[in-house]
Amino acid sequence: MITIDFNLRRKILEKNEDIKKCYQCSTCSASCPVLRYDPSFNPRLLIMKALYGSEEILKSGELWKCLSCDKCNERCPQGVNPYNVLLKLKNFLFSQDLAPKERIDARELIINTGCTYPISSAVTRRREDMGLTEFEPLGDELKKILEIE
Amino acid sequence: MKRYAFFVGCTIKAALPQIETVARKVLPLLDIELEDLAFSCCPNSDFRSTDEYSWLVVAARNIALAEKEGLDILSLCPGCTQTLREANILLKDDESLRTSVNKRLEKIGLIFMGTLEVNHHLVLLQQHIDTLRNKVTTPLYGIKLAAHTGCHLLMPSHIMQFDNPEQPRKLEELIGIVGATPVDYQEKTFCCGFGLFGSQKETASMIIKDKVESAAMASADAFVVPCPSCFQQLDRNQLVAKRGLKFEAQLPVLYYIQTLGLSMGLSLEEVGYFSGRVRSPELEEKIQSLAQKAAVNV
Repeated sequence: MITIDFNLRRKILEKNEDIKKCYQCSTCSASCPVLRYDPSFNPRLLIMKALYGSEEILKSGELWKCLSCDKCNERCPQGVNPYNVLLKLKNFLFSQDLAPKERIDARELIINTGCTYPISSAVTRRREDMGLTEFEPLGDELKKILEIE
Repeated sequence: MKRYAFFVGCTIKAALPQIETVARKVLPLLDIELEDLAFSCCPNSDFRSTDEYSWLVVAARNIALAEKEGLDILSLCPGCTQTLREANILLKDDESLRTSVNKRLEKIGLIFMGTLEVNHHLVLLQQHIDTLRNKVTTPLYGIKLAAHTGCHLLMPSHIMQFDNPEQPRKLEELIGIVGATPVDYQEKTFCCGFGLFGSQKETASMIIKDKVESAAMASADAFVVPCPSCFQQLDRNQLVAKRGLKFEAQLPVLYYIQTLGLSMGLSLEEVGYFSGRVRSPELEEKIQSLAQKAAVNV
């Protein structure tokens, strides 16, 4: 049974006005490459839970299974933009220190090095062998603009 | 000669440098110059999933770097293209957001003005399609290629404005230019599943299996992709999926620009084919024999 949490519902709707337009047609779910293989990830149900303000949506970890392919946004007949709704919910989790550790680590790697991959000596050597330039270190430029001490 | 700020992107720089090498050989043939700037990660959608505002600030820094030089951005990667195009539009359309982001950029002496265009290199190749046709010396006749455009070059379509996401044709047109035959296959527009490979290997592997089997069923010799994430998923991760799910079909992957290099007379070695993990002796043989025939005809 789903319990409606009106406070959470209000909080979610503040940033996602458009989800009220969802009529649960399931176009997003029918288009979702993840759902085709993993029934535990269902965009239509996630939008419904968001409308109910169900805490489950924030606790279950389902949100992080989204592939970010954008197909649901592209096909949604109501302009609900399910992908962007999930993004905002994930942003909310991150702000509450509830994002998965690997996402936080990946974010920090980018902020510290400018690159989403660790720049190992193997990578440097391989680039050198191919006659490519070295990675330019960014220093603390990203920290400065993100106001991180 | 037009100059572009060259946005290689983290994945190609770190994991697929062979693509950067071939791009640096082939793109200048279109009478363009590639300028390297101190770009960071675009940043990617995982970064965006933690905090959209900081995603926008980092993207704005990249755009502002190119604007300072008065250059448009030419990208090798659909993901980077999508981030930078979307950030560009968001910042152009929203003055208060722009003002707030510019306060951040001020700290490093940059400013977002909204004066440049960001494009994936396939857009540029499309624009120069006649020039390309004239440069093909070794047409890849008889080679059957399964086009996989992937998600981010197509969607959101109002931002990417590249092709119809439901029935993409552009990559197949470009495959035609190099003399190869694009094959139609069941899972053509299906996502490669790369984003799941780290956290849910099994789901990601099932996606790979369906893609590879359906392209093999259509008699493709290889996949052709314009995206480094799709490349890794269908190349390196294909081998992992095969070990886990025990299926027989196997197809190598080529970046479109590698096929272009081959058609312009570069060897498999020169286009970095041997840096790929999945190899196909049949494909190698076909391409080598085409190269020999072309050499005789010259």
